Amino acid sequence: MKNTILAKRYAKALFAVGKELGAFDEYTRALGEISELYSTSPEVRDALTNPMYPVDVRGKVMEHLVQLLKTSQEMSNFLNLLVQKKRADVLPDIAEVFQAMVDEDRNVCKGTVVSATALSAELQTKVQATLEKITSKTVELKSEVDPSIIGGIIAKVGDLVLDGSIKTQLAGLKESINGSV
Amino acid sequence: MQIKAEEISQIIKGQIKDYESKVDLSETGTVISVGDGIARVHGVENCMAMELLEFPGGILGLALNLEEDNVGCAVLGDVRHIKEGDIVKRTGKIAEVPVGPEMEGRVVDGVGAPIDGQGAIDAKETRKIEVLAPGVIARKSVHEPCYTGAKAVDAMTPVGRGQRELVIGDRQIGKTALCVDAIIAQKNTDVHCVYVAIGQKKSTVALVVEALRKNGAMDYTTVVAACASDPAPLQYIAAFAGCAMGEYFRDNGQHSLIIYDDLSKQAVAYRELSLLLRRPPGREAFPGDIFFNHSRLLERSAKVSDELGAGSLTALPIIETQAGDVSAFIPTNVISITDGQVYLEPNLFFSGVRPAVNVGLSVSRVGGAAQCKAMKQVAGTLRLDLAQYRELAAFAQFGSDLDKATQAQLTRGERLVEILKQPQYQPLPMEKQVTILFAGTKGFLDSLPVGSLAEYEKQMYEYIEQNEASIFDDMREKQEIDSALEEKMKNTLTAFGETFKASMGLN
Repeated sequence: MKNTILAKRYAKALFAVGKELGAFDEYTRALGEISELYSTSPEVRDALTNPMYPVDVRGKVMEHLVQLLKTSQEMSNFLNLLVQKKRADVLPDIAEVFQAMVDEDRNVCKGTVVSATALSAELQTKVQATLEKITSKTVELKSEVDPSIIGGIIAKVGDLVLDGSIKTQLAGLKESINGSV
Repeated sequence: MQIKAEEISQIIKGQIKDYESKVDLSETGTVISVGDGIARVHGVENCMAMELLEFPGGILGLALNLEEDNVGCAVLGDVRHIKEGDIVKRTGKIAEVPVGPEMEGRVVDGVGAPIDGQGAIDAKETRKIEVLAPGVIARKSVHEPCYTGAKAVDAMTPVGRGQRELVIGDRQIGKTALCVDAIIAQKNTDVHCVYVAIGQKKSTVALVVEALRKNGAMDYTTVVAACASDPAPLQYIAAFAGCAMGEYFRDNGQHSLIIYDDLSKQAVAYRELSLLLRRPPGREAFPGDIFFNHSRLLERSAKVSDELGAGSLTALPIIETQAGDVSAFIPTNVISITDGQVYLEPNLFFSGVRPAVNVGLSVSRVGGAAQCKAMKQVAGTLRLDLAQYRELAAFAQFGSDLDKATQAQLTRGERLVEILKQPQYQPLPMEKQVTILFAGTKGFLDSLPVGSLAEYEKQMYEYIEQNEASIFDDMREKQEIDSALEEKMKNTLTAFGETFKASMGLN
């Protein structure tokens, strides 16, 4: 979390370039893949960020990665720059912030809907429509199944949470009984 | 009392029936870090300053720092149950406390929840704890007295309704005692009291509550207690919460008196909070806005104009000094904010002058406007007499041969100092104070030994109540000593003086 300010600066620059060239999808994919790589194989992260290796060695690793990614010139410049500036460790944060910026720009927000059993497609569209009405944004909905909420659904969009689960209501009932007796 | 299991089942059944299930829409965030009573929360983008946030388990937090990517939040409760990653909900409410006549007679904590084990408080109204003080137009100058019941204070540093009079002094020299007496003195008046205990031992608070209860003062008093073991944020907001409770009366055309015991502890709590929130430290490591913290709190004590109901909120903030150092940061700040101070001195206290008011250093900037005419008549020369006495007393220690005038002044001074002494929990009404001061300043005591004056005072009140009760009644009614009353007082005091001397075997 400590690197949010840094990540914002880099993401903002990248966003400006992306907007000019209209290459958001491309950048999102590249950033996503690298941060995926960071979490799945820590060695890669180590090779890119460990100060034990000289900067030029780390730079070479990144150059190699960039070739494998087959990404645009700007993106590869950006990734190489990150390593040169010794900021490769912020990459996952940048990916996250960048994603949020792109979503904001496209008036899209990500949401999840949690239910006890899998939702039918019809219900899901209904939830989506409701969320879109509340946020007045296009909502990309992801559904999850969590039997522990017993029944009802919990819908989350950004900071907003619509909680209509049986679990929460039971907890509320418990509190109201505890509070007044 | 027998509790029937059946009844409990009924209650629970009713509650389940009435429980409204609704989908709650809330804005949330997540806890990034937590510790030392401070939680940093990511998310809650639309959070307002001073808004209450709800942590899991119903613990509340106060949003104090709104930063670019997180909210610094003081937890008003136990932080041990809060973990990193917990969901935090916005309540949409700015911090507020229950207020109103229902609060009287209760002991509550810094957020207004009862801690006296007497059940829930059914308050009809709540108020924001941080509000702006009344503006210039909404005010009126202080003009009516708010008696503290202490002769030394009411005669020489009078407190008016709507005034802020600082009580300052070292530890253990009767600051709290003076203020508790001031609360007891409001018995049978229309003044409602709030006692805010900040950073004190629970045992001390219990003693004060017990003293108030014993003297019948709890009926019109609310005690707000944020004790030493409570988290710093609670100690910080307790003063504001108490103020909000007092303001209720002020804004409803009634009168109230609030005691902050003490503001130095509140400042320390605020310093702790600020440092943990990483605000830059200033002098004595207090944050830059510590002055504003006290000024905005004390500025809310006011006398409100007639159009707004002419209510008032009188404040007696207490500041504890370290070894008599009034030039430390917090004491100078609060001295400059308040309309005067009562300075209590250890030397006086230990030489038996209690309350240990240092007459020279105590002032009231409101002055005579907060005294009735009768008190002005007797107290007018008192200050001067005492000042002259002190000067002479220091001087007279070197020589034994003194002229008549000097000796007379010394005799007078000694007796005045003696009659300003007063035992704890025995505040005096105005008319009694005026009568004894009248006796002192007019020389009725000069022929009596200093040691007998306490007894004299006691017997005199009884004597007047039994024989010449009209003196007290007249004074209460007219609030001044006219020539007829003066004549009557002189005659009565002369007559009593004779009987007293005879009964004590003097002459």
